[in-house]
Amino acid sequence: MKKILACSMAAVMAAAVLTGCAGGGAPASTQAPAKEAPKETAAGGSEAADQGSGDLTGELAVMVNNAFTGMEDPAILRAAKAFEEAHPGVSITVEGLSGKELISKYTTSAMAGSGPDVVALDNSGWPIDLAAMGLIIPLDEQIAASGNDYLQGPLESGMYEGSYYSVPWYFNNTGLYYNKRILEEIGKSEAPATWEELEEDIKLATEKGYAGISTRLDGYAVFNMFMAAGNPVIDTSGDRPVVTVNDESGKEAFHFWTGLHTKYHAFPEGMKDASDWATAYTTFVSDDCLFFICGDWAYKNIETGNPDMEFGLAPMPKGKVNAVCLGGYNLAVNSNSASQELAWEFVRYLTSKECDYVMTEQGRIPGRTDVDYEPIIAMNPSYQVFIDEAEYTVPRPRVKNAASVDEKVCDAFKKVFFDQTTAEDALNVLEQELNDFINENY
Amino acid sequence: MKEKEKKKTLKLREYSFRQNLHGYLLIAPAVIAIVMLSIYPLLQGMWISFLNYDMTKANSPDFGAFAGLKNYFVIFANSKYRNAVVNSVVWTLVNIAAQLALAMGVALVLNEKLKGRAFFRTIALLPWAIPAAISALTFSALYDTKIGVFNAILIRLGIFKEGYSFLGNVNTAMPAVIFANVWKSTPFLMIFILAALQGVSFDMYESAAIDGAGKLKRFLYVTLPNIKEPMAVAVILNVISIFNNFNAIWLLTKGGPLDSTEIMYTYAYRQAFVDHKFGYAAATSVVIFVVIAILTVIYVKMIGSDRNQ
Repeated sequence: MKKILACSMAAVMAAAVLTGCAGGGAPASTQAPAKEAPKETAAGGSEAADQGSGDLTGELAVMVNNAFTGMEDPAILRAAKAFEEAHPGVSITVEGLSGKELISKYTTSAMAGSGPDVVALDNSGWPIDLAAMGLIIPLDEQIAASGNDYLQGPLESGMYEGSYYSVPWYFNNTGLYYNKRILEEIGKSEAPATWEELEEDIKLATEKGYAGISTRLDGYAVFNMFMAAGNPVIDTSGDRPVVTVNDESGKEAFHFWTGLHTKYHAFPEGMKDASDWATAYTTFVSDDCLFFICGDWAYKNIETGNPDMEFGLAPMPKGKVNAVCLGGYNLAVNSNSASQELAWEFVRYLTSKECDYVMTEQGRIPGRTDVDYEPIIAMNPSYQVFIDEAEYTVPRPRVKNAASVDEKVCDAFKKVFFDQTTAEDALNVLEQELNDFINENY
Repeated sequence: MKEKEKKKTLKLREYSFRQNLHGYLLIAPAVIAIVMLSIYPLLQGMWISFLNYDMTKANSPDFGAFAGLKNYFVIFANSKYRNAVVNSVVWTLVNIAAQLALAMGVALVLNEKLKGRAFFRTIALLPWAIPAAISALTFSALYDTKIGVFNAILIRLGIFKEGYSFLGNVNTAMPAVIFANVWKSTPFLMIFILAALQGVSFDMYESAAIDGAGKLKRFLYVTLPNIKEPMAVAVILNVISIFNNFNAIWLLTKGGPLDSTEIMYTYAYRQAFVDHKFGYAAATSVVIFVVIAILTVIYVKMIGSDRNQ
């Protein structure tokens, strides 16, 4: 009996081990409130909501990142309400989750054959993974018929095996935040425009005892180094991905950026444990670091983090080419959805000109070519930097399990930053690891 | 004759079942829930560990095919997995040793007749009651290079010239997460030991004192022998909980930097939700399951022998 009891106990306790991997946390579930419909825009009116199948009916569950639901009177709920009014038989529920919760909850629920009809996906590789897993549907025909002119870079971030599996909702890219006081102190009046100028400024700042440059060590920041050297890290233009990270341009990029540490100790100590952006900000708002690389959302956080610090925003310095790493979110339709047509209609509507206010009210940049940027510039003139960078924003390598590539590239950089190895050795190991990764996944 | 006895036994069993029917019905919902929510996923997880289950190859003809022990061979051949096994052992042993020493000390103090003892006991329990996410956020702030209290103190004492990243450096990340977990988990062990201490008769201490035993001897020959069994049970329970503790590491370092705090549990999570290789993740989880199962059997046997005594 004792043996049976022991075995049963062991089974029950260890079951938690085998089943405990799913992400958790209570989501902020919201239902579209009965508020005013959105104001009609000059160009779109309420056409987009009315366009398409007028006899659409059914219930729609939409899962987005909580940046769009965690405030009073969220614009996305007003957009959903307008869509419901245009299609009286439609009922929409919008659920907001943090990015990490969103992807784990969507993946597990879709794998179990359910999940929301429409999902917002970080364009850093999530659409590719979910497309490979068969959990979202291809949208080529719908995109062609939509009339929405999506930006090519963000659109390509959802391309898998020649088909588009998602459409851009909004995008962002990195800019160079700079500390005005330190810049003046080193005798400069403008932010650097090239890598050479960047290195010179960092050299001068570190000589005065300041940290040169900081960011969060993740793919969004680190891929910029290679992209600005014209190196895609992994070339996905052919049938099979090819690792390019150790090519001449890759070597040049990696040696330049790791050289900022080996030559000048340019990166602050706090950057080592900046595993999230909140920690990364502290390295810049402490007013002793010259530069900080981040996207548009950092602006407000830096302002509130240190209201006394004067800072500016400039485009990323040009390397060999003008290129910045793409960030932002796409929208996709669940392959388990019983209302795929309705789901697509809502996606088309939400990414149309009529719904740009959902993004622009928060200073986000919609992922189309015909956006009216005026409200964003009115909110913050510095955002012109991100708008100008739109034409040369580049998605990360379109490979399955791209998060793993992010980790490997960042780890190579960390090995040099932590003085564990040389740039050359770190790059050789990275090339080998990425080749092994391609062989395992393709 | 044998046939008759067999029939009698069967009748007795039938009678016993009918007599206890209400009891069986009452526990049925719980049993069904456990089977559905624990046993079924457990068996399913074990089964997946023997399959080709790379979710990003869901369209491949090999997907879902029986792979024998391939997943196990792959993970054992992976240096990152072997590193995670070593880290798991270090994480568990250092944690339990530090917690046991600290819990014993605090329990002995709180067992004395102190003024405000109830207040101190409540304070000592607080870390255990704080949610893991809050505890992680707190320690993340305490360790911060710019605003962290630890760095401020060390700089003030002249030990450091500038802020040091405890969680960001390979050599200090593991000790830093262990320290945070010791702070949070020690009260659980402490309360077990304190309860055991309260069961030790005061007469025994008095007799030992009359025989000339000092404080150390009374602790070694009176206290320890009397609390060793409940303490052993608490230690086993704690070891299971430490070995299984995903949150403490994931919320602070996510297994980094450079895998220096990667334990088997975070490795399994990464395989499943970053690389989508559920076969490898399941194989890793089965290994964790075996370790936990062995510890649980030891725990149950201890409880059994305790009852017999």
